[in-house]
Amino acid sequence: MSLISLIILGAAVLSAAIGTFVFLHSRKRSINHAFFLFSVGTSLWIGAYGLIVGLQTDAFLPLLNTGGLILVCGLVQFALVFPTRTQPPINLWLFWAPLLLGGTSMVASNTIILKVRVLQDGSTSITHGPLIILWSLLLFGYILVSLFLFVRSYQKASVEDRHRLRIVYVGISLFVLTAIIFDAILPGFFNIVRLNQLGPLASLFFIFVTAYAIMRHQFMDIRVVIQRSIIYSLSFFLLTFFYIVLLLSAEEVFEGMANIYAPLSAGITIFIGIYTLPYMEAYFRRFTDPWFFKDRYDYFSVLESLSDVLKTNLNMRPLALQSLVVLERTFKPKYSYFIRSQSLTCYSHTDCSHATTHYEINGANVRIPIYSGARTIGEYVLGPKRSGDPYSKIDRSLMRAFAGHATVAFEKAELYQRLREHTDQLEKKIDERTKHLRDMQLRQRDFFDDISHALQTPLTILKSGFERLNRDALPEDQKVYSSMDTSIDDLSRLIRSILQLARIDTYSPEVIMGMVDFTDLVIRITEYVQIIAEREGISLSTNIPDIPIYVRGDEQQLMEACTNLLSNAVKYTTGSGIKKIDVSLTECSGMAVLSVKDTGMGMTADQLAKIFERFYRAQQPSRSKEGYGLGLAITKRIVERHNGSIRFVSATGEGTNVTVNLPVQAPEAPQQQKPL
Amino acid sequence: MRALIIDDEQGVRDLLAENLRSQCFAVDTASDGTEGSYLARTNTYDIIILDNMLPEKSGIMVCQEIRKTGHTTPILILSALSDTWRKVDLLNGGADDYMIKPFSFEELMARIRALMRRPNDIEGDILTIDDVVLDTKRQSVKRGDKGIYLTRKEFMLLEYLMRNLGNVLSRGMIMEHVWDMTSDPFSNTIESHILSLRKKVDTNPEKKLIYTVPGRGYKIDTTQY
Repeated sequence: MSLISLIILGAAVLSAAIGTFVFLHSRKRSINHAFFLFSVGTSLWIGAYGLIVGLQTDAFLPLLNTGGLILVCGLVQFALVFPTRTQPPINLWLFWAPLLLGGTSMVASNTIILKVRVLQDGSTSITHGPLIILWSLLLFGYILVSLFLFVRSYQKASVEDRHRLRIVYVGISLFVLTAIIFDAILPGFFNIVRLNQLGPLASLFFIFVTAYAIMRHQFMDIRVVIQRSIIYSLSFFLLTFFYIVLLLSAEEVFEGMANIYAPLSAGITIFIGIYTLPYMEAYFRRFTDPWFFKDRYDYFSVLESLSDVLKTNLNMRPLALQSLVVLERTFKPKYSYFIRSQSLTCYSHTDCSHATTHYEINGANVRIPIYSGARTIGEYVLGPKRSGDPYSKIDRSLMRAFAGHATVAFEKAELYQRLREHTDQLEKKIDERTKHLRDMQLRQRDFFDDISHALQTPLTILKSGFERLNRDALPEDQKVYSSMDTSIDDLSRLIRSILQLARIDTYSPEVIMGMVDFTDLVIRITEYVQIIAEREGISLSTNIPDIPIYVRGDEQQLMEACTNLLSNAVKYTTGSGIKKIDVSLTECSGMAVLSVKDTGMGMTADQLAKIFERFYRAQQPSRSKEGYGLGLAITKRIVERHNGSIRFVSATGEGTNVTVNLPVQAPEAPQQQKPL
Repeated sequence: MRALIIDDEQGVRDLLAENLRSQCFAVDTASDGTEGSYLARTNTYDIIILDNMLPEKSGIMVCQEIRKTGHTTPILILSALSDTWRKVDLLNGGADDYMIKPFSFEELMARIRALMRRPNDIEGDILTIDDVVLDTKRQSVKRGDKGIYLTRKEFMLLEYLMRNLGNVLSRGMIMEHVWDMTSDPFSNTIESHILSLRKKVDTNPEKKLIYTVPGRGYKIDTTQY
């Protein structure tokens, strides 16, 4: 048996092996069945051919024809079921009938090929029988039909399936091409029949490639496969061409020694082939790379960009949009968007119309879900690439890595959003409550005003009435009227004081806290109290700095409080000894400290304890009974409202020392503040 | 002289009307803001007394209405509330003076007279009486060519007296205008200051300037009463 025959047999076995492997890989799929048929058919065909040539018998002719028939059946069936089932234009039975019935009968009749002889020059001569034309037409016809079916399914196929079909086409074209070249053109036009044995070998390419197409459902790196097939096919052709050239030139050179042409040429070719194959491969790879891999990207820099986006964004929207920017730049999809699971809001740079229409379509879309535990936060959806290529394994692994990182970032964004919503809600609630409180206080204020009016009006009438009576009264009655008048005044003042005390704490929209020059205030008050004190024989000394000390508050109220303290000091500084009042103002560790010290009657510890109680009077001062003991309560309230403190130190007969502390406000602070 | 009283309390209305009539005023009364405003705009009065707390229309609104029609009649507002900001609001709204309830009628009359004599108020920055010259711009007082030092309150008191030359200013008026208070926390603030002023300014025993009007108040004047 010649070397070539052995090779052919080897190919046959290989073909059968591949077919079986594919079949065993998935016994259920009809594609695998069809392919199995095809490969079995090829195997038989090649095998029989090899045996006939090798063993020089015609016994295997039926096997050859059967093989050819099965091959075509397999091809047709394959066309029908790859990539998805299609129906032939006519009834299934009518479709198959001619091939099966006609074919089987022709094979049985053994009138297709009568003889196959191997000639001395190594080529084979085939003696065709009468049915050869019919046979060829039948097979060729069905081959064409299957090609037509392939084309039709291409048109209807999705993008990924189209890729697989293209691979199959490559295989088929190689197969057909080589078959035509070696078995038709060369013998027919150039009378080179020696190479017609190589024709069947080319079907191996088809087998390989198709097997791959079937096995790899998801063509991640199919481009590599195609590229490889092209590279190797080109290399193969180059080598074959070289072989042919060698053969022809050897004929010229070694005339007469026919027997050594073929082996010599083959040997040289193989030798050259082994050593130049890597170079050829590299060259062809570089040559074809731009066609296939224009969508190349640097995996790590993309991952880095995505990481950056995830790190720097806290809000959902920019997070989604910016990561989409990177994804679009990398994969160049036709459309892309991110859709949130809960709210079904969609973020996109293109538009979100795809979100509703393409939602159910899978295949060409790539979805990258972002999970948080068992829940999906949202999903990135990338449409098919603009280049038309499918998403490769590397693409998907990049997306998975991104999805993993994105989970944390999205969870964070979600939490942040919820936090913001929560805070906003809280703020709104607080605003409402504050407003409510303010309203209540305003109403309370109005109530106080009404009380005041209601109480003071009858007093007015009384007072005027008594005045009138007093004018016409007798002197002894005038005293009575006079005291009544005084009482009314006292009552009126009391009402005012009570209401004032009650109102200090309420919200007054017209009271604006401002910057009060406390130094100036104290100076103004002491200045005129000085005159009054002189009259009483009290010496008033002051120790007030030159510089202004600013306090944040209401000037009127502060004036009232200070006046109160001084009036108390004057009122209670009586007696025979030295009458002195010392007023001092200092600034000490951020506080304005006002101290009023008198040498008056002083208070016992008991009295001191009750001093701020409303209506409490330590003792009757020698002078009028004005105030009814509310003055200090009011003063204390005012000081407290200004975030200050007031302290009394006193002992009977030793006078009293009042200290008021108020927080100092730096002059650069804003002038107008919120109402008191 | 004609007066208009606008107050929703009958008692107050009657009392004021009676008292004013005893002072030879012709008095019209109104019990609410609408009626009062109407009367004020359609008649001529020498003084309008207006209560701040009126039903429907508030005192300040009536005041503004009257002023809008161009009447310059002095308006005195009565109120139970003594907040400074309220006073400021009312004065800005067109009122001329403000009295806290309860008040003595004497006090009221003193103020009314002061208001009615307003046109005679001495405006200007330099006030003089006898040879006392008070310069409000420079905040200085001179008697003859001798400068007199006065404390702030003393100055303000003297200015107030001199601006109302010849008019009796009641304690209430002085307390309010000079000290911005409704009641005297020291009970002798005014007396003390008058005393002090007399000592510093009123030094000529033959030509007394500052007079105490018993039961009514104080005034500064050049002629003997």
